[in-house]
Amino acid sequence: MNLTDILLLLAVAAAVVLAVIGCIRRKRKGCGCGCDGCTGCSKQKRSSGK
Amino acid sequence: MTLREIRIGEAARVEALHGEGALRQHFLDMGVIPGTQLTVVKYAPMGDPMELRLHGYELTLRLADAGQIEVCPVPAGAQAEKKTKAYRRTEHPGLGEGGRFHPKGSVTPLPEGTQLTFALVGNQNSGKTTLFNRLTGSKQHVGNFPGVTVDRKDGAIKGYPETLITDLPGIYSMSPYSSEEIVSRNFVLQEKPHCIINIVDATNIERNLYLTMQLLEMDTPVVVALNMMDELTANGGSIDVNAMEKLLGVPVVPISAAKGEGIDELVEHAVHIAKYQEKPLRQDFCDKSANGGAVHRCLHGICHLIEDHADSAGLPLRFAASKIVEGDTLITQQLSLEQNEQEMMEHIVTQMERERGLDRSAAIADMRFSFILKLCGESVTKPVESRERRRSERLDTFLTGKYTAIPAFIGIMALVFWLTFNVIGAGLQTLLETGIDALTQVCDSALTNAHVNATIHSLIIDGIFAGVGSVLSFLPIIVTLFFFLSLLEDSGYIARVAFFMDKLLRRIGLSGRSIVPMLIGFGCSVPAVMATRTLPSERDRKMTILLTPFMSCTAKLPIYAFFVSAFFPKRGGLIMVALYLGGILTGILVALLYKGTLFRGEAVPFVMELPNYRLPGLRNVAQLLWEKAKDFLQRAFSVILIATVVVWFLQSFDLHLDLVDDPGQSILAAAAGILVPVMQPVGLGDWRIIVSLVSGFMAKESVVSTMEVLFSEGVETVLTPLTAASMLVFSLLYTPCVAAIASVRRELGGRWAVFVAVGQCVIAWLAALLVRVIGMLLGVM
Repeated sequence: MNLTDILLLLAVAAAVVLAVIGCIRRKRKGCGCGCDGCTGCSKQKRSSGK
Repeated sequence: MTLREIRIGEAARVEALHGEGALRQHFLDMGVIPGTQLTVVKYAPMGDPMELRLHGYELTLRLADAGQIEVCPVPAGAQAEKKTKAYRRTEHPGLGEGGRFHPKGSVTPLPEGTQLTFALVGNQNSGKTTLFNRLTGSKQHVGNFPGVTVDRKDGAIKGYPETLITDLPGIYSMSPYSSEEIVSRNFVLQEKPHCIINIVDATNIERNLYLTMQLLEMDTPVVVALNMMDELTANGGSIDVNAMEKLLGVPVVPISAAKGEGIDELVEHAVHIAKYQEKPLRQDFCDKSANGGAVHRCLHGICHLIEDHADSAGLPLRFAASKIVEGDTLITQQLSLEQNEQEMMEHIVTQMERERGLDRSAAIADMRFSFILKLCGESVTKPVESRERRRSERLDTFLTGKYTAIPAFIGIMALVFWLTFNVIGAGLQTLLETGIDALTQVCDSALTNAHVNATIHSLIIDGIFAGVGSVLSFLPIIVTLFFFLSLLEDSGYIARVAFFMDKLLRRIGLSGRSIVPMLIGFGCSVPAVMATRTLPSERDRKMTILLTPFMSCTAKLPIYAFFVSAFFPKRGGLIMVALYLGGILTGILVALLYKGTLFRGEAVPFVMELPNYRLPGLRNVAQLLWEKAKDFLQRAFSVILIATVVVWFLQSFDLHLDLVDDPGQSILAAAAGILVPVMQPVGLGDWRIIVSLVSGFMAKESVVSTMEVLFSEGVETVLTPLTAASMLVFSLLYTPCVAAIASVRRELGGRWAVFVAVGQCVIAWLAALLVRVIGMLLGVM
């Protein structure tokens, strides 16, 4: 493995970690389905101020 | 004679309202009380339900329920409009402006630093969420049909960080009829907000003020926001706000939530009366001299008798007394009255009924509407007929016409799907696909030139680019479909669909209102499941939730498109239509099965208000599309990306974490092997298909990304058209994604959620088997 391989591997790992964090955040924020914009989420979400 | 015998265009006066229970109370709350004049507007294309006009709005109800309403025809020409008093200058009473009606010292302001809490309460479709968005700067979803909001939402008023305003589902009265209405009543009663902002649709003021009358009884500061004043004045109507304030004893502020007019004034009033706890000046609306004063004496007598009980139960006195007269058992229980007291109340009520000539509920409703008519007579100049009304009537002659309604609905849905899959969405998808392919090629060449390790190269190109890229290209189609669905929602057409589909849906055991969640289900199952909260019966709600997964959601589109382009490129449109219709047809069959087994009995009565057609707000639609696009991209780069990388990893390594040349030796193949015997009979025994279907449980789009990764040689070289057909049918019907199952669990509990997940898989398996057997009999391979 050369430096490029290591950098690419790190980049993929970082992307996956960010994706996992994003999933957890969205799950906490919304109704649990993870989609921020769906009607279900917007109906449940405690919007600004909380 | 009953209402069902009245012909189109004829008017009648309500003589008596038969029936019992919550439905009867609901009719009374909607203004169907003895003495009310109503006009039959039309019948639905199949002859049932019927549309009526009363108190200046349109109500729909079934013929069976119309048979409970005894009427006497009003001859033509005798339908005189009530004259409104000529405008005269009235002094502004200035409620809430420095305490003019509450001299200094008579009120105690809340301590500094107290968080002021507000409840936004009003009828369905009166614009509460639009106002909430204006007040808080939120972007909550709004629509033009009754019951868009099904749960409470909180936010702080812009510029007032020490405030908390709660948007509540619409209610017609404090006698809730459906489950989301209970949310509103409980909030007002139990959480006791510092102030109620009562939003009143000025274009439909009589029925809207009915709730206001009940809110005033709550002994909580109230400010009335007269919404849609712009529409009223544009049509030549007007409201003498000063006179209305004086008669109601609370501040009244004319606003237009959609245009943002009058919002600052409303906030100033609301904050002031909340801080100084300025309660309504009037709660006593029963006229001492009306009809011998029977209702007046009855209410006041009960007020005196229950004062101590209401105090200890923490219930507003006047509200509790009205509820006792109406016969509300929940409130009566809360008051813990002794047997002797209860009997006393019943004697008082019986005497009132005898003197007034109306039963208890009707007498109270009549008392309220009598005051409202007097109030409107004093302060409201109604427009002759609004432009919106005329426009709606013109459109309805075609869209809900006897012979045109169903063909128009089929035509509109066909046009929506044609534009989405063949014209706009498909065109944009091709463009995006070309871009993604070009980018993949550039990256592929760059990695090759940089002599990147073969495994990492495979992870990036065969894993991430193939998986995420294949899903991304469906963005235009999904956004386009949502665009059309939001147009239908915002225009007011969806309520009409419920009206004319009621009779058909009743045959499968559902009410017309069930069509709203089902149409939303074509977009996403999660909001569809939540939208069932507007259904007034638990039976209808459960049944609708269980049928929603049969409506194919947009997330399944990539699966269909993937297989159609690989196996049936020339019959794409036909197969798409067949799949959607197949889902609906299976849903109908399952509904019939449920009707005869799990959910015996009849659907609840259909009582629904028909809103005027409105042009969908550009800002609204643009906001929804942006949210959908953002959501889809976030999913693609979160759930789908993770699934793609995990699948690539599991199919590239074996149990000893050694790279495998043949994916058949991988961890994934070993794990999926367990399900092979189950899926073999339906032709889906390939471990790669099983893995794709399992990944679809997380998000349906994942099926395609996983297939892209696993079938690197191209799915058409491995599967046969018959297997593809089985796969399409299985994907259409098998368990909804985890998000939808979670919302079923939230609404109905864990047992039903498992029932949906397992039940849908069984139905999908059977349907796929049927397709396979038919295919084999026809000699298709």
